[in-house]
Amino acid sequence: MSMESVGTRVVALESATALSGPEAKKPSRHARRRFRAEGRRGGVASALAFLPLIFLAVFGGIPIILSLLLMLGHFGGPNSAVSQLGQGEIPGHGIGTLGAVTQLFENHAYQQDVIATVVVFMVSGVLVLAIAVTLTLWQRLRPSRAMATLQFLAVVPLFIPVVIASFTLWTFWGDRGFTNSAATMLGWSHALIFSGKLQGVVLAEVWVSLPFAVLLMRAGVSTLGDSSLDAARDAGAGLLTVALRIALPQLRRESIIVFCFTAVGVLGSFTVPYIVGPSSPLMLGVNAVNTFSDYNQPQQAAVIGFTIFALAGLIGAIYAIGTRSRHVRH
Amino acid sequence: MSVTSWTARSATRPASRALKIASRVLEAILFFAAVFFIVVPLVWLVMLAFAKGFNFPSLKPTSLTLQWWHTVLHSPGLLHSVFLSVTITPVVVALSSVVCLPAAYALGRYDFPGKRIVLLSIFSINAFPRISLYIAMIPMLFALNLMGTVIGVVIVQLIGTVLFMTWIPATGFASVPDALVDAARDAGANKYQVFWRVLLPLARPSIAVAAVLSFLAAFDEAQGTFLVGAPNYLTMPIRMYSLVLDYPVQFAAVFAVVLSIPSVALLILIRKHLFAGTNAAMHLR
Repeated sequence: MSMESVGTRVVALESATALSGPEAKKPSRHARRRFRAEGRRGGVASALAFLPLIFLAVFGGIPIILSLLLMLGHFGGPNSAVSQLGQGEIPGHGIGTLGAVTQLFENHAYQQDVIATVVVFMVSGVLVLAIAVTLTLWQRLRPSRAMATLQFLAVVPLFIPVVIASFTLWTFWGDRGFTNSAATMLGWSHALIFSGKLQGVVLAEVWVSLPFAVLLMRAGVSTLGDSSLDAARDAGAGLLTVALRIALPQLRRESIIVFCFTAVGVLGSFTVPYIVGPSSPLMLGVNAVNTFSDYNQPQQAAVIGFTIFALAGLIGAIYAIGTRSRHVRH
Repeated sequence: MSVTSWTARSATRPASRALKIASRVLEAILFFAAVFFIVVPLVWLVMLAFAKGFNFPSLKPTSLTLQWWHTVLHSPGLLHSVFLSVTITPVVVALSSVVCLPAAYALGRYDFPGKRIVLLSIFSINAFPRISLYIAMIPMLFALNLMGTVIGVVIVQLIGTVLFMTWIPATGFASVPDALVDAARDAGANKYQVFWRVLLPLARPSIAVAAVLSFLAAFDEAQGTFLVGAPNYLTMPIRMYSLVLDYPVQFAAVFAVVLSIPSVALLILIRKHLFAGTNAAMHLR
């Protein structure tokens, strides 16, 4: 989490959501069980619990409504302040207009940005999931010092702020960076330059997302029962079969969580694509900020913001479907 | 342990011998790939901070120097950023604890209607893609005249700390055994004494972890602060954005190393608490 993400970053999550997952999950379940048993009720004290909720409603909930109105072309009321600086605004009447939305989506460059963003968060999510599953499952089925060290290394990025990580990877994979220098000396010039490319964004997003994924998968893998693994093994199943047929299906829930959290983190990231990524196609996070800060188009920025929300809804649907079908099976 | 018995058993099977060698080779490949992917870039960063320059494509610096450190430490703009970061962040953490810790206590020790809604809402705000949340905040911050102000920056950074400051201490308060509370009551302690003498001390480690994580989240927050605070409030992480574009790479590398010191130091400090539970399987300390 970077902590933008660390996750978000987490932190970091990007970074910020990152740590909460495995840490918060276990005790809260325990806590809930205790409450049910006791049914304690606190009058004044419980009112305090709503304080953070009120804060989030005021500074998260209301803004989303205002931003939605802005997107639909309502420039009055609280939105008048921001729309005064706005350029190219498309006013709406009645329910509002989708003029700004169609304007953006008819733009070829914007279509490319949306596609690039989807590709980057899908690929990053799948890669992070694959790496996290491989590292943790391997250590579970065939423990060794090397794999333990590997797992430790995968958590190291948690300690590095996302801005620093992005900058470091940008120079590392850049045209005067470590990889291109090494490749050039081997007569393989320009083969390993990833900065300023979408591949570089994926590399960096994987880098900052890996710690959370590994921590979460490790917690999941540790709950795998020895008995089912041993039984399959005794029945003559090979290691790969055990991993793919026995262990992996039991990790379905964790896998979906890892994929979805990574994907949302990547989708909502700005720093990594801003520093590492290309100027075209732009990831939507960067595009939103540019549209607001550089082009003074708050309405269009709001449209991009809601495009990101919509894509997050898509990831949410993957999460819902993925976790629901598990219940059906069992 | 059954994990070790597993390997012991697989070692006795002749067919698994080849598999074992293959897996060792794969392990080695994975190991070096991870070192290259994760560790080498960080070594590269530190080397940049002390390198005079490079004759491309040589990876050996022309010579080592402290000149970049000198430049960074004598740059007034950068020092101002350091000042901003170290003053704003504690304010955010303090405000966050005022808003969240009472809630954490209530969530951890009491059952009340709407509790699940509170927990879920706090969690779900973090499921929103960050940057679009910040974009959505802009119209309101403009209406309240908070764009480009320190209050706006504090609010944006506060949002990223709410989850830590509520969930983690709540689990801390919840994990205090009721027997202890009952014992204190039996010994004649009143409600406040129970809180100050029993609950708070036992929940303190979780509060400390939450405070550290909140501190780092606020300290490292760049995208929202950039959107709301720039150009008036250029905190340390935001400086990185312009350093990357406008300065020699070694200059930014020095600043990057300086900026990571608090994160690395604080996270190492709380690492044991942070990874408690999931850390057991690790042989590495």
